[in-house]
Amino acid sequence: MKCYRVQQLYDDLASGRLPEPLSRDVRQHLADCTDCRVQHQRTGRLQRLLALKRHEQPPAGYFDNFLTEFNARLDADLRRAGFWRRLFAAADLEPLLSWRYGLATAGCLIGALGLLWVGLGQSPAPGSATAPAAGGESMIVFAPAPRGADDDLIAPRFELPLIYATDVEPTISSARVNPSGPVVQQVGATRYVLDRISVTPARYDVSSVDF
Amino acid sequence: MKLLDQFRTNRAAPARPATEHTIELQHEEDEALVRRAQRGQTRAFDLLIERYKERLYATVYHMTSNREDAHDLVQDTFIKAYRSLGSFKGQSSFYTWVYRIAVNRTINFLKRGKNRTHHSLDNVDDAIQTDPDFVELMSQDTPRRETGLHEQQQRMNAALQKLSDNHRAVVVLHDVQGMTHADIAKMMKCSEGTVRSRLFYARQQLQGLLSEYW
Ligand SMILES: [Zn+2]
Repeated sequence: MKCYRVQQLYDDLASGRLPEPLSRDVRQHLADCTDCRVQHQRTGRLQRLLALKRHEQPPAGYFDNFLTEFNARLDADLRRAGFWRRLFAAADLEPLLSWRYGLATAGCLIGALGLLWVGLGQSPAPGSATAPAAGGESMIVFAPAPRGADDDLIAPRFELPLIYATDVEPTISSARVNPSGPVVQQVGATRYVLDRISVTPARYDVSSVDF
Repeated sequence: MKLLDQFRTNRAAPARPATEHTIELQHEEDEALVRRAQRGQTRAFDLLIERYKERLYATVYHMTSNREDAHDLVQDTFIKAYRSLGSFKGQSSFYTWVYRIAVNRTINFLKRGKNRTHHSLDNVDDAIQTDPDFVELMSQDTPRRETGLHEQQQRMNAALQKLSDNHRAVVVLHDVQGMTHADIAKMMKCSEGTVRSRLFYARQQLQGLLSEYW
């Protein structure tokens, strides 16, 4: 048996984890080889010396306020963090801000922006956006009813036909709806225009555990 | 209510008395507590902190030889763990996972050279006087008999600090903390062979640095 191989097995020999034929071989080598025997003894002494470090202990009561301090630090950490982290922390959902969820959110955001980009890139025929659609479309876009032809100048260009709020029948349970309540029709209200998209890059500062 | 206030209310665990629910939680396994913490039960995470803070502190302290750094790093480790809890899928035990964070953060910290240059050592407890290893070491006819306990402690810590961070980590985890090669390998994401070889070279170096003890 090579000396180097034996020296790698000291710990297993000491802990009795070495299977029998190997254990016997190692013991035999230690009996025959002076260098390894001395090395083995020194290693044992060093390990005992190192184990004494376990007696180095912090003063009594050292950990008494550990949890309070942890909470204070987390609190201070949140103060420095942005709005979203605070929101998630308030709802106790902070673990959701991991890189997986971050990636999923970023993916959804990119997907949504992609769809919007495709939608904006294809202009419908003039006036088509003002035509109420029949029900049963896969995508329903709610918007106040148009005020007049002038609004077409600033109308958003959606490929899919719009369904106006005034055209949609309530589908929620009647038990939750007050039938005598007023029906709000925003006739003549200004059309909302999405003229600018401002995207701030999301920060995922807990995206990975830096090992 | 402001978000921060609400957050404080959510995480005001230390101020709360130990409820029946908390006492029940104390008997739960780590995995169950982790699942609860992932669902937002902060008290469950508090219990995990209580369970591991001292062991983590000891490891980091032995790696840094500085009490204040160790304290900060362990706090930092738990904050990191809490924030990364969503990504913890239980492929390893919580213990291995949180240890890995602590060891790696400590190594990164030491690499950045931000550690305090002086040692800030914990006191040696009285129990050492009756420790068989200590009694045996003192009974041997070597120069260490003449040196005081405090001086021995200083020398040992100084020698440890001369090792590379990875070598010091394996020595601390194995010879001081008593972890197995397999656990260290998992924690440090390397093979058991690497752990064995690092241990071998670290001990060789320590024997050279502490030659007056042999
Ligand atoms: Zn040999």
